Amino acid sequence: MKHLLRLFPVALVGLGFAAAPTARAADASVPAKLRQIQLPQLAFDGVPLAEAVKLLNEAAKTADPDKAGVRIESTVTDAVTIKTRAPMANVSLGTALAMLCASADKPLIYQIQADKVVILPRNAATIAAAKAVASGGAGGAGGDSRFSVGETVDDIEGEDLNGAKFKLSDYRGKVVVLDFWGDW
Amino acid sequence: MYPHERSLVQRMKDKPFALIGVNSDPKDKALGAVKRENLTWRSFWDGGSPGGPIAKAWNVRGWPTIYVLDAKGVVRYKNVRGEAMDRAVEALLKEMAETK
Repeated sequence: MKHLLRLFPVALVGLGFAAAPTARAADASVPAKLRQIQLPQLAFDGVPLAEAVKLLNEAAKTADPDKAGVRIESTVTDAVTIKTRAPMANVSLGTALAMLCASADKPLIYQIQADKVVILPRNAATIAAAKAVASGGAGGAGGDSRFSVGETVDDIEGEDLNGAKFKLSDYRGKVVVLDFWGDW
Repeated sequence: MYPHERSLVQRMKDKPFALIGVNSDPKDKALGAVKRENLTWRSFWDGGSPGGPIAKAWNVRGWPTIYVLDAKGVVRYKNVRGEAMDRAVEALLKEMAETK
């Protein structure tokens, strides 16, 4: 019993060290940051969007254990005011962004990019840009991935989440929705 | 996103249609989402973070990124969501049925 008591904490410390590098490597991506950064409280009482974005950037930096935060930008030029209905406690940065967009007096959307988050107006122009993307044009939110409308895609060979090998071309002959996704 | 895609997959289950994911999460998180949200479609696992080998090869830098491919593997629509995704899939299935 004495041995067990002595060994147990040692084993835990060992595990902690072993797990740390992997966890830290995954931390750096924007989606991971949006999940992991927890804001102790969030409330915007009728502040202009630019100021709300500034506050959110600062809050994210403060709450991030690495003190790096996430770059949040806005391309909105209209005067927009953010007013949250009630203050919230312990929300993730991702939830905070969704709340910010939902609490604006003009419709906003946010888009997660590789190195930042961009807040966009949800209006005729961004909808037109999205349509241009859908029909193969350039620009727009998340539109410049490799293959354009009309092009044949390269095959993907890989493994599914259970480790079974498969190919995108296994699904030739079917209409395929290919969805690059993450659970954030 | 999950409820819409779940219902699309369910509705198209007898049609020549597949929804294929490319997932950028750590594997335990991805499997957790599959279980929690009861996701029935197959996903490539892209190495555990955004910027994995598939995302890199396809120059995907925003998520979600959606491609709708016809039966020949030609991109027909990009980044359609919700009802627009439904309409895109229905149009391609109709086209397939008519050219058979």
